[in-house]
Amino acid sequence: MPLQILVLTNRVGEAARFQTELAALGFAASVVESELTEDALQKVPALDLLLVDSCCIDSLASLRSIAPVLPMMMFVDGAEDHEVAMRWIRDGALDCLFSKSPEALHRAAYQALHLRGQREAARLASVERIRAFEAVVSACPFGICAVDENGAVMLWTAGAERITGWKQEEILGRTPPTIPPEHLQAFLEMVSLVVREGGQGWHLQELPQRHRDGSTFPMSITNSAMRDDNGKICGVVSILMDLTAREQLLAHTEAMRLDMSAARRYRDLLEAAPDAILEVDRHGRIVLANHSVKRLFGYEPEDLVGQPVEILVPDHLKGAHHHQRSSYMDAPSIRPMGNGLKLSARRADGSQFPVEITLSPMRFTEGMHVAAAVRDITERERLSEDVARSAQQAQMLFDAYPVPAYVYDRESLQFLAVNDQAAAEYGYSREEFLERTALDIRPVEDQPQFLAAVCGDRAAEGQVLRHLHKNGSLFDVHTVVHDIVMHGRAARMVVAYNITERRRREEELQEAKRKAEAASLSKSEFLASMSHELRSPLHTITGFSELLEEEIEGPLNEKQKRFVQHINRDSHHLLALINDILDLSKIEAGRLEFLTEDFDANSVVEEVLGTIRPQADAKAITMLNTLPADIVLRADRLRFKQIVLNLFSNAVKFTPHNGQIGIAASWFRDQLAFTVWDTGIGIPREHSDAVFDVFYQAGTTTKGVREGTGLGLSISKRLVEQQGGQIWLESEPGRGSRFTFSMPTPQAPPDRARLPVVLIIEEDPGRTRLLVQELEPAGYKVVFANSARDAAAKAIKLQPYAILLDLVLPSGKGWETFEYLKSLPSTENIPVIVISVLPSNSAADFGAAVYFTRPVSKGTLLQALRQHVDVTRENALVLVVDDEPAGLELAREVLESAGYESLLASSGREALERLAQRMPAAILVDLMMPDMNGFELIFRLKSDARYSNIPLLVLTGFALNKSDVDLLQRTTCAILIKGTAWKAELLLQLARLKGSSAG
Amino acid sequence: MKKALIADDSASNRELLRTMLAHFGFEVTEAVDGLQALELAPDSHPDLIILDIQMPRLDGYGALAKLRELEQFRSTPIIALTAFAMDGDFERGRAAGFSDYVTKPVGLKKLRMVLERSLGLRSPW
Repeated sequence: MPLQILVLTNRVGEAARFQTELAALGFAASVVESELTEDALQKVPALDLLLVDSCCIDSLASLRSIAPVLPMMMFVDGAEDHEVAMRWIRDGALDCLFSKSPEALHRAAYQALHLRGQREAARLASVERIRAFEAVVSACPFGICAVDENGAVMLWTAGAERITGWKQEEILGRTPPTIPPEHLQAFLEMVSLVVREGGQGWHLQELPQRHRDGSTFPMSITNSAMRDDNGKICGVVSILMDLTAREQLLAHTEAMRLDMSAARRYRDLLEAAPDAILEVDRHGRIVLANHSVKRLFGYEPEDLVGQPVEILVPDHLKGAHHHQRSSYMDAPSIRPMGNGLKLSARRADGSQFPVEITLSPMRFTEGMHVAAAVRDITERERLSEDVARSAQQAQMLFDAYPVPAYVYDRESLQFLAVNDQAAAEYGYSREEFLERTALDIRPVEDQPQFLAAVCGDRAAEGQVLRHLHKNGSLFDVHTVVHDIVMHGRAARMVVAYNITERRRREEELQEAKRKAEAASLSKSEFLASMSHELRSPLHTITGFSELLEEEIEGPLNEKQKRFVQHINRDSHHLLALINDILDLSKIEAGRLEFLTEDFDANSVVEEVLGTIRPQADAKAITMLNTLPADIVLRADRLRFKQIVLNLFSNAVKFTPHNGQIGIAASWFRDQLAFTVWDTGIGIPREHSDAVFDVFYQAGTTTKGVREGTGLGLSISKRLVEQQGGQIWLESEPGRGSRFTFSMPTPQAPPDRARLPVVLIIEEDPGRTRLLVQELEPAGYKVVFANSARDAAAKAIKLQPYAILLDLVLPSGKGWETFEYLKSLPSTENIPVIVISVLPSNSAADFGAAVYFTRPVSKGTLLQALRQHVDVTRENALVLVVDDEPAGLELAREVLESAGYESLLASSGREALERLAQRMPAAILVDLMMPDMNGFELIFRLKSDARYSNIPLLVLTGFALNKSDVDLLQRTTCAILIKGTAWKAELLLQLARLKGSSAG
Repeated sequence: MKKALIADDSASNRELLRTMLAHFGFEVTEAVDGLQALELAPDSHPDLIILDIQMPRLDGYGALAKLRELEQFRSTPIIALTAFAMDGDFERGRAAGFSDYVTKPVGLKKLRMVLERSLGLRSPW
């Protein structure tokens, strides 16, 4: 027979190459090649040599584990490398075949041939030994299979053929075909382990095996090492037992007895049985015991032989056992012992354990023997106790379940189980409940539907139903249903939630909701009817007083005329009040709807100015609209108009004759801000919040002004805030007021991205607004953080020029924030300007760039920021033209405190001279100047190509007419009005110019 | 002389309106509610009808609907004069078919504006 060689490779043509080489060396070989597959594994046992391509090196260890003695040889297509060869040999390769050393192949083939000879000889001897008692073995209900050290079948007895359907001649030299493919690897590893380490009595219970006809059946397999004559392990013997045929084992014991010498060997096979097997003679003496008695009873088998079987019976049962043994002898049969009673056995140490015993008579010429198979069922008992315990726990859970639950028989509808909660809910005692059927808890009219449902699917019960209490009352339940088996009956378990209470609460909620809606509606109705009821009498009052005033029914004397005028004016005031109160009530009641749209703010402002003009003209007040063109708002147009009108009415009202009022726009964060300003009486700073309160009267100064209702500003504030804006007041008594409110806009604010960022840790929204107003006009982009973590995150992301930290944060986390910022590598170098209430000895002590003690003026703060903000200021020169020295001084102060350099000129002529020397970034022009006025200067600048691109800003106290404003709007960037808060506006405009020129 | 029919349940309102309308040269027929206005309307041949909204028996809206059913009053100016002045009231009045919807209080100036709007009436001055 040629050498059987498998080449494990993923290359094609290797087998042919080796075949040729081996032929050249004089070996007859059958060489096949394959990758490592299930098929290849099955061939392994029949191989003489395995050649493994170095690319399959990973498989070496696993191959070695299933074929411990098979010669395996690595081959590699390359130069000789001793290191590599050593490593593979350590991993289990026989040798390493390099392409330049063909003599290794010769050595391997020779060794394989030699080993095959040895193996075959050993195999033959072993098989012969087993065949010696094959005659006995073949009569047994179990089969014997012997495999060699590679897992190839050497012996397959008639018993094995009976059990498995496979004939020996079909499977010799193959792995046992009964092993399912998924277990093949495990089988080969088991064989390998037995061969390497020996072992006996490996018992594998209920392995699924494949019959030749394709069916699967359970088999118990017991493996022992098979030794050759020299005691060397040469394979594995397996006892195969069809588990369905276990009783037959006992029945056929007699056959074993036919040949005692054979039986002694046969006894070895018995050792494999998991049960203790005893043979007892008619006197009750043990004549045979297998090794399992050691495990079960703690006796050596030989110590038991000759002992009365009662040695294994607990003391209190010994007498009964004696008696039962004799009655079994009278009517022997193969049957379990104990007629279903729980049996227990006694160990050598006196302890007891539960057992199951099968008895089988053995008839001999010398008399009746009994074979007993004793099984330890401790584990099974424990399991069944566990099952019982969990059943008990389930029962307890059922009983204690806080929701009514019951089980009824699906056929008879009789209740089978019911918990306390169900008994309480339905008013029955448990006993009464169990006497009833599922029909009894339903009103008669619902019973047909229930009967229909109970036959059908269970879904019909998973719904809201009406159930009947013992006292005849009905309640609503929501049921959850499970079909179960109870006491062997098809039953239905129902959990029934009483939802009457829940329903009642739902209804109450509905009712409350309805009431609330009704209340809200009646509030609206109340407002409507109050309006109606107040208006009706006012109608006749104003109507008749007007008739009198018009003297339609005849002339009045002067006094009467004055009286009527009083009535007339006050009734109109009353009407205004009513209108405002209704407005306010509507807002408070949330009854005011906003119709948001995009609209041109200019057109609305023009409408308002048209309305206000007669009043302004009457007081010779100048009105200035300095809004840029194309301002679009996203708000309610009418409400916006109402706000602007209200602010202008106030402005006219509180501004003396010959004063000025106006409106200007700016950006407030991402909203447009409108400032309605006046040169009126002003409002003290401490009242700047209170003015928005209902019925605020600005002290003595407003006495005599009777037109206001005192509600306009509070209405405006609410209208602004409900549209997402803010409103605030800046004022100086005697100099005028600026009311500013912001509104959403679809337009984008000017790009501040290039402005230096100042990060301010501030928690109070009022303070943040103030800081924005102070810092943004000075040319900074202000970003707020409200916690240490937030600050650190923003500082890392934005890398601000400076961080402003007020140590007195409401949260008390000022210090923590400071230390956190200083502890992070990416923020520790950012200058931190600290504001504290406490004086500091040395800012350097703890790393603050600047340390201020409260209070800090805006100028100081800006100066500190400038020191730490490294911004190029080459464009920061501003030329100021004003004939008044005080005006120049003020402008310089404002500009320089914000970091601008100023160039001063006291006349138009001087301005032109200055321009010839230095080129400013912007020019601030007063209009009222002797010799050359502002308009003329502007005209000259705009018509001179050298200067026409310099941005111009107008600062004036001059009363402008419409055409002035139009002209200035075309030629300048901004019109600033003296006497108003023009400084912030100036800085904002400059910052904007700087921002755009930087780009 | 132009003729006006007015309906209002308040005597003082009726007197006020009558005086003002007389001032503008109208001959005025008065009704105390919508129902009486319906009775008086066909024979008084009004050039203008002014109805209060809230009246007993038949309110302004009801009277308007009945009047508009009559061929005679299909295009006569019928004006609501009412103290109902909430959002939406004006739109509701116009939608119902009133020629104009005027909110109290109404004095001489306002009434003149209303009359001019409805009748193209010029000032007597």
